[in-house]
Order: sequence, then structure tokens, then C-alpha cells
Amino acid sequence: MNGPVLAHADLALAERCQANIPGAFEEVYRAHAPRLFGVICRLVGRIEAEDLLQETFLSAHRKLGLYKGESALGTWLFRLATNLCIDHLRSRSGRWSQMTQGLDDEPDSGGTNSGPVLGVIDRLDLERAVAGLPPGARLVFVLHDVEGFEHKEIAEMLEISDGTSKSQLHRARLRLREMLAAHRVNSGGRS
Amino acid sequence: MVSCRDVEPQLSLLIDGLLSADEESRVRTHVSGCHSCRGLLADLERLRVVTRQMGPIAPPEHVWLEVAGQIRLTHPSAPVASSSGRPALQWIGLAAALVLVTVGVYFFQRTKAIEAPGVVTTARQPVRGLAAED
Repeated sequence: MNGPVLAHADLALAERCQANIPGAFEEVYRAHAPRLFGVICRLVGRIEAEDLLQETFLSAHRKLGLYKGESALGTWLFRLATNLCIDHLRSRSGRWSQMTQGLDDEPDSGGTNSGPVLGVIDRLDLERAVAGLPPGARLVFVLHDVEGFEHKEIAEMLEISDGTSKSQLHRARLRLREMLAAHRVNSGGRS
Repeated sequence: MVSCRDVEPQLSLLIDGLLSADEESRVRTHVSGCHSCRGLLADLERLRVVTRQMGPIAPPEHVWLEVAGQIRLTHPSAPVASSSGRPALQWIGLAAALVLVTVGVYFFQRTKAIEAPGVVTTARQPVRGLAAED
């Protein structure tokens, strides 16, 4: 019920931006920048995130004429941001196999441990662990577990198969478990 | 007999609700009797709960200023920022304008003074007079 109403309001806002109504584009920025910055930070790292957020909004300003209100403006901006991040990571890492390097070669840690190894997980420790994942696995993990995309959508975005997306996600989770468990041991099991 | 090696990759699919009823039953039967797989499943579920709390991050303010500046450069007619939303920037703009006017007036008067040297001479004469008295 809210969807079409929201998209209508978004379209009206996009039209106000195109008509150069003062403050309209700033309204778009203020409403969506925090979510986009969160995902960009997690995908490419904090250092490059500011440049990519800036690039996302400059690109949005150029392309607002293409927005027809079929989806929420937030979703449209999100696609723009993630595509920029994917291009950025691809240009840095090259092929998919290089983007997931370091994850495929390692044995799965799941079967070798007995019982749960994680206590209470600190969110900041998790943020740090996510940053330590190889770029490809990080993309799948953030898009699926943090942003709620389905494997089919991720597969389309990253030009991989559904199966690859599922296996990368599982390996990413195992790696995070491993890193968080190691951190727990190193910090004396405080968390 | 299902082994841990077979079940372990399916634990992620289990917590995401992506297994068929038959597969789920097979995995759950194994997990209920396997301490290691039960531990892994508990950890994956815990990880998922905390992951859901990873929310938005506020970007630094200068990012918007840079975006607005870039748009102004490429589209000079586009007023991207609201006129009332940035009082601090308005004060900075006003201060900059004031400095420009002051500098302008200073240089204008200086130019005028150079063009009329007699005025300068007259103004300095009392000082010379004082020096002579000393």
C-alpha cells in the first residue's frame, strides 16, 4: 500500500530536483546518504567511501531524468552506489577469482570445531572482521546479510551463478566466525 | 548416514530458509545428534542477529559540501542547497563579502591618494614640523 505512494512522492522529489527547486537535491542527499554511506564503507572501506558517495550523488544528479518512479528512489540510488562499488572493486581486483582469493583455498572451519565458539558478538568487532574479508565474499555477505538482497539478485549484479553466491556467503560466514573466535581468544574471551 | 561434511555447507541455507522440507528434516536430524554442527549452527545464527544491527553510517558534512560545489560548477544555474538550511554558511558568505568590500575600499582610497600626492605631503607636514622642532 505504501509502495506506490512512496514512489509517487519520490518521483515528485526527483522532478523538483530536475526543475532546480532550491533544497530539493539536498533533501535527497540528507534522506539517503547515511544508508548509502554505510553500505559503501562496508564494501570498499572507509578511506575510499567518501569519494564513492560523492560520485554516487553526482551520478544521481546527472541521471535523475532516467528515474521514472518504478522503484523507490532509495532503491534506485542504492543500485547506483553498489554498481559503482562493484566497478571500483573489479578495477582494483580484476577477475572474480581474484576478488575471492584467500577464501576458496582455505579449508572450511565448520566441521573441525566442537560446539559454539562465539560468545556475545560486538558489532564493532564484526565491522572489523567484515572489512577483513576478500572483496568478493564481502560483497556477497554485505548485499545478502546486511542489505537483504536475494542470491538471484546478487548473482545478476555480480555476474556469477546463484550457487557461487550461496557458497561464497557460507564461506564468508565461516571466515567471520573464525576471525571473531580468534579475536575472542586474543582478547582473553571478554566478548 | 549423513556426515558433517555433507551437512556443514547446508547450515547457511538452513538459517536462510532455503532448504526444501526434506532437506531441512535431514539436516535437523543430523544437527540434533552432532555437537559440532549444533555449535556451528548456533554461531551462524548469532552472527546473523548481530549482522542485522549493522545500520546506516552518517557521512562527514564536507561530502555534501563537495557534492553541492561540484554541481554548482557544472550547473551554475542549479541552486542545490536550500536557502534557509545553512545559516553558518550564510554567515561565512557574508563575512567573505565584507572582507572583499573592505579590501576594495582600501585599495580605492590608496589609488586615490597616489593620484593626489599633494594631499599626502600636506598630511605629513606637521610631523616634519615636529621633527624640526626637536
